[in-house]
Parts: sequence; structure tokens; C-alpha cells
Amino acid sequence: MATEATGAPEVFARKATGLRREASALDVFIYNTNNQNVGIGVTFMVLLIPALYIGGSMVTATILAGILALPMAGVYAYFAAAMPRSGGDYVYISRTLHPFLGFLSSWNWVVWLVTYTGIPAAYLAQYGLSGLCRELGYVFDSPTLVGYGDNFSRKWWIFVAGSILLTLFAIIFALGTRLYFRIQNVTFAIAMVGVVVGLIVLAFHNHTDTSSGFNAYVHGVGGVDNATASLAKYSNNLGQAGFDLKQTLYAMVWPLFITLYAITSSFIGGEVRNAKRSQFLAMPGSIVYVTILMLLLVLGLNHAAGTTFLGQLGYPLPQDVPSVLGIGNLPTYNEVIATMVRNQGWLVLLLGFTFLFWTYVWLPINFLAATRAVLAWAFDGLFPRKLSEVNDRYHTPIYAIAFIWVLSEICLYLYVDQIFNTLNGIFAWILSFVLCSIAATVFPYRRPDLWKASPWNGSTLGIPNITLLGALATVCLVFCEYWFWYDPVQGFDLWGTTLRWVMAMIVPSAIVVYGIAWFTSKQRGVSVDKVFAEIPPE
Amino acid sequence: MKLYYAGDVHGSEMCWRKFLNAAKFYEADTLIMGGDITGKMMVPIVETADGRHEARVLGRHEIVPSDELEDMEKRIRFNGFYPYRCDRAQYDRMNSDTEYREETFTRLMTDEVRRWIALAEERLAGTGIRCFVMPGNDDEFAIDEALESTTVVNPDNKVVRVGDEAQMLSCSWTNPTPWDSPREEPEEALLERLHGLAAQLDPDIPTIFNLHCPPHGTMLDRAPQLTADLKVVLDGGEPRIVSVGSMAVRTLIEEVQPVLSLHGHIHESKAIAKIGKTTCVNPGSAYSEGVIDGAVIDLRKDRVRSCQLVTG
Repeated sequence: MATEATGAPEVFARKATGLRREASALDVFIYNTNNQNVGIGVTFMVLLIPALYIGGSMVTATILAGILALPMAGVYAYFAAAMPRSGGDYVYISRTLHPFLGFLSSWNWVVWLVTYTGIPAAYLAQYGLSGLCRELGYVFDSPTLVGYGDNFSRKWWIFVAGSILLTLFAIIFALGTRLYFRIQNVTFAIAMVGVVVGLIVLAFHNHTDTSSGFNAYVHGVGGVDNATASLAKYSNNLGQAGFDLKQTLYAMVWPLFITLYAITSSFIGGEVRNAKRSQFLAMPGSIVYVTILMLLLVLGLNHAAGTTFLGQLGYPLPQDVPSVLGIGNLPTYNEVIATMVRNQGWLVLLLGFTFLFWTYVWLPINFLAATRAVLAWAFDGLFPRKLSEVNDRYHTPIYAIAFIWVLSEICLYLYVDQIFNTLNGIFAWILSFVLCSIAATVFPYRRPDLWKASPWNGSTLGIPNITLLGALATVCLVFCEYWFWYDPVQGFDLWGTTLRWVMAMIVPSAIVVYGIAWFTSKQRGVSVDKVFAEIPPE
Repeated sequence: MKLYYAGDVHGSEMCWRKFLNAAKFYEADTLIMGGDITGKMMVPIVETADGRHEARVLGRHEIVPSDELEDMEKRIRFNGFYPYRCDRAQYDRMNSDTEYREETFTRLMTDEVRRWIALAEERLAGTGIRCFVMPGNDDEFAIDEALESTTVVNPDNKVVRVGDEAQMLSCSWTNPTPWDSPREEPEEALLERLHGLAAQLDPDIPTIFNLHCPPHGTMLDRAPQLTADLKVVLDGGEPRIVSVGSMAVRTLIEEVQPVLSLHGHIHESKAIAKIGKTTCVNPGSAYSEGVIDGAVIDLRKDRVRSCQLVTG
């Protein structure tokens, strides 16, 4: 048995290509933090939990979501260290379980990546432009701008704004990703400034300030006097019961919607320096950071606005908002913070403008990831080779980009038409995480050579640590699945027929695609089974 | 003719063994290894005073008894590193004497290549499978003589026949890299070298290029941009990807228009692309995981009937 000591002999490297410094721990930490959309996450939590999960604690739900996501992040960080190459669980599951399961997981990923490319396109208008226009209208006393704010809460305005944004990103990606990453760097910093400013504002206000500020603001933009009373009346003076664990667990699905997505750096695993350390800091580390950030916002809102106000604010049905508040849709938490500083126009505009950059942040990340997956499938013979062709001038896969753009437009429409809801894809998406966690559990037994050669190959009581972590992650994820399934707001009982069909068709469609690929690759002289199968070394 | 092509195994014993078995696995008749076959790291295993052996394995200091030494060596080889058994005096000398260290490293690499070629002889002799193994820009010149055998052909810097159906022009050299590796030269010199080789081609026989370096400006040569101190340039936390292939290679492909052009060198740029009539392939590399990325190509006279990237 190997033992540890100090003062070990060093290894000697010779001059050769590839020995380079790559993306650092901080780089991948930022990458993962960006994908956990704090702004949108807290928007949903604040509008929905106090209103619809009575007795549910936002603070406890956030902490639980952070804790439950950690083992899965640990699994991905482990795999990223053991197999430091780009591709995420497509690589991990293919190598550990079976190529078809790797494809199935990847297929599932892409279905939801595309879905969540379309949905955040809608968020731009729904949660960003509507609030910003109202805030502009309030500051400049312009009913026209307020009217635009209301328009951006309407179905076709949301669709058109989302379509323009999707098209814009498709063009940017067709021209090359460099421009996008430059934009993202700046917009992420701007969005974080908004969060920090919001936290400071919350720290210096109380319930009375919020109530009077909100009333004055709604009067200005919606013409309704005493909006807080209007909300109280509509909600029958909705109050908050004592702590309810079951409601808190149901409510946990909203922060989980954020914390489960700290693993995107696994897709660029081939470029990460010192993957063992960097990926561990970047995945579990960014969950801790984002959880703390969400907690600060939630605690700040509890302090400044209180859960009773937030519950009554989130209570009106979308079609009733105009009659209750005189505006097109419910204000986000950010707009509520803006009402606290309504007399400082520059601050109102800063909050509205910076929040815009949280709304769509998943769109480009998911668009890129989906395009990469389609490109990889096309090279592997699972999709038509045409989709792997690149533009000679810009070196970008324009057919794959166009393909994802069309599918995203369809998903945008399905969301705008309320056939899909925000959380609907997460239940199915988690199944891929479960598969990856199962792969981790059996990894030392299926790939002992790779496990022994990996940086974390320790055991506890004779059981490999990654087996224990994989099993824990599987249990945590199955536990989360239960609450997503029975969620009273967007759970299975509320799924429409179209959505149920989409869910039911994921596995059969993957089998069909794999079958077609098997047949066509056989024609080419290599069975698709052999495309991924390991060549016996002996 | 059915070819299996792979490259950039960088000392991974697991990948080499898989390469040798690939022809049988994919029912190919020709194996081509496109360069960069030697590893980049030597891991000294130093004998301790109490007869045990210590080494730094994947960043961890391990001490094992003699009966676990082979297992340790196997794990080191798995990642493409070379285990080297020595005593403390030899290790200290390697640490302080650069020339001695480099000599030891070169000798170790050459011995390992000889062992690999012997393994190829053992597995392929009498099978009728053609096997071409070429060095790449990272491979030192000392290994060239170790590559020749009765079964294995080193086609580097030559035009060789591949059965009766095709001829193959091979070149291990690349355009300059930030690492100043053994076989790299300016684009002008590389083009001159390639033109010299192209002059040996028979215009009536279908041509395959086996050029370690990929052509510039394709999906085969996309890699992270590096600063002078070898740091990846990042945009928004993601590596900035640029073309790093050779203009000389591209020029030659455009001029000659071979039926097929095989490349490696850029591990992260697994792709198939067309330059005019030529199908260009870079299967990429994931050698450190014991996985061999390759391409199976069905060549019918002067056309590529199919080209499939495979992960073995």
C-alpha cells in the first residue's frame, strides 16, 4: 500500500508541446458562478415562495439547496480531475457505463440546453425590459415608457424581443465566440455591481420605507393608490404561518434551479490547469459562494420588505396584476429595491440597467454548449456530417448554430405560450446528473486502471471515496427529484399534454437517433458501437 | 483499402497497445501512427535506504515496497510518463546535472520505443497488416533508428507506397510552437521541405498526406491562444481559440489536392474538414486517459468512401 511522506523525488519534464498553463481556478470559478444566475434565481424565490409555499423558509430552502447540490458538484469535480478533457458527462458516462448511456445523457442535456436557451430569451422582456421601462417612465415621468414596460409583459412582445435576442446571439456566434466572451466579461461585472448596490440599499431600509416607496412608485407608474392595501385585499391579507418543513422542501426547488448548475466547467475540462484543485474550487466552491450571495439577498429582502409584503406581492395571478397594481406584470425584487430609492433617479436606473444582464445570461451559455454537443455528435456520426461543417472565413459551425437557433425559437414560443414553464425541464435534466453520479459510484470497479491513475484514488474503510461520494450524490439527487415531481406550483400534476409527450419521448428519441446512427455508420464500415467502444489493449 | 490512423499517444502504453490491436478491431488493413509517440515526463523511482521505492506520482509522494513496484510503474506508464528506477546518487546527479538528465531521458525514451516496436513485431508479424509509425515534432531524433523494423515502417520525410493502391507523403515537422520542440521550423523552410517531398510523388497514383501538423485555418488547428509565458489567453473566463496550424501545409494541400490528408499535433481539435477535393482529418488525442482517438478511413482508389472518427 502506498504511503505518504515528504521530500519526494521530483519528476523531470522535457521540452515538448502542450506543457502549458491553462484556465486557472479563479477563471473557472467565475465561469460557474456566472451560470448560476443569482438575479433570476432570487427573482423567482421572492415572487413565489412567500406567496405560494406558505410557511416555507427562503433562508432554509437556500441553505438546503446549497448542501444538496454539493455532493453532485463533488462528483463532477472528481471526474473532471480523473478525465481532464472537455465534454462533461458525455465523456464520463460513456467511459464508465456504456457509450449509449453517455449519448442518452448528452441527448437529454441538449434537449434542456435548447429549452433553456429559448426560455431566458423570454426573460429579457418579461423580467428585464418591462421593469426597466417602468423605472425609466417613473424617473422621467413618461407614461409612454411606462406603457412600453406593460407591453414587454405581453406574449408577442416577449416573443419578438426574445427572438431578436436569439438571432443576435446566433449572429455573434456565427462570427466567432471571441466577441461574445468579451461582452460577457463586461456584462457579468455590471450585473454583479447591481447585486452589491441592491444589498447596500436593502441594508439601509425597513418595512415602512418599502411600503411607502412601493405605494408611491406604483401610484406613479400604475395609477393605483395605496398599492400595498390593494395587494393585501386581493390576497385576503395573506400572512405567513410558522416554519413548515414540508413547504420549505417544496420551495427548495427554486434555489436548486440555481445551485445545481455549478458544473459547467466540466465542459471545458480539457483547458483547466491543475484540474484536481481548480475544479474542486470552481464547482463546490462556486455553490458556496452563490448560496451565500442568495442568502444575503433573501435576508436583505426579509429585513427591508418582510415576508408578509413579499407574499402578498407574489400572490396575484398574472391576468389580475393590471387590475390590482395597474401595471402589466409583477415587479421583480430588483424593482422593489428600486422603489426604496425612487427619488434618486440615477440609482433607480442603475438598478434597472444592471439587472437586465442577469435576465438572459443562460441563453448564450446554453446556446454555445448545445452547439458544441451537436458538433461533437456530427463528428462521431450520430448526426448528419453537414452539421459539423464550418464557415471558411469565421471557422464557426454555422449549420449547427442555425439548427440550435431554430430549435430555441420553438422553445421560446412554447414558453411564451405557457406550454412549458420555468422549472419543467429540471426534473428531466437531473436524471442526467443521477446517471453521472451512478457512474461515479461504480467508477473504481468499472475502470480500475483509470481510478488508480486518478489524483483522488483514496478509500475509506475499504470503499473508494468516489464510490461513497457518488452514492451520496445519487441519494441527494433522487431526494431533490421527489420535490420537483410533487412541487405544487410546477410539478408533474400541472404538466400539460405537450410537456408530458416531450418528457416521454426523450429516451425513445435517443434510441431512434442512436439506431439511425448505428445503421448509417455500419454502411460506412464502422458500427456505431465501435465508434465509442474501447479497443482491447491486450 | 481501410486505414486506421491515430497520433499523439505521447508515451501512453495503453494507447500504444490499443493502436496495435486497432486493425483487427476495426477490420482495417493499414495502421498509421502520425507522430508524437514519446512521453513528456520522466518519473524517477528512487530506492530508499530500507529497500522500498519512492516517487512523485500525479503530484503525490508515494513510497511502496518492492512487491508493489511494478504496479506503481504501470500507473505511471498509464498517464504517458516514463518510470525510471534509480538510486539516490543517480537521482541527485540528474537533479544537478542537466546534460546527464537529458541523456538519461533520451536513453529511456529510446529504450521504451524499442520495446514498443518489439511489441508491434510480436503482434503484427504475419498478419498482413501494414504498419507505419512516424515521429512528430515532440519526438527527439534519437528515436528514429528505433522505429525501423521488419514489420514497422517509419515513413517520415519520404514518399512510400501503401500497398498497390496509394502513395503516402509523410512529414513530422511543424511550424514554430511556443515550446521550441525538436522538429519545428519557420513556414518558409517547412514549405521548401514539403515541396521537395512532393516532387517525388507519382502523379498517376492516388496520394495520401501524413503530415503531423494540420493546415492553417481549418477546424483541425484550433487551439487556445498562448501568451509568451505559455499562459492561456482568456475571454470572459473561456480560452480564446485561434488557428495555430501551418500555412505551408495548407499551401501544399491546395497545390497537390491529395485524396486524403492525415494530421495530429493539436489534441483538442478533433475534426474532419475539406480543402478543395481533399478530406483532411485530425482525430485529436486523449492519451492521458488511456483512450486513443483515431479515424477509420475507407479509401477506394481516388476517393474517400467514408471517414469515421472513433474513440477506442
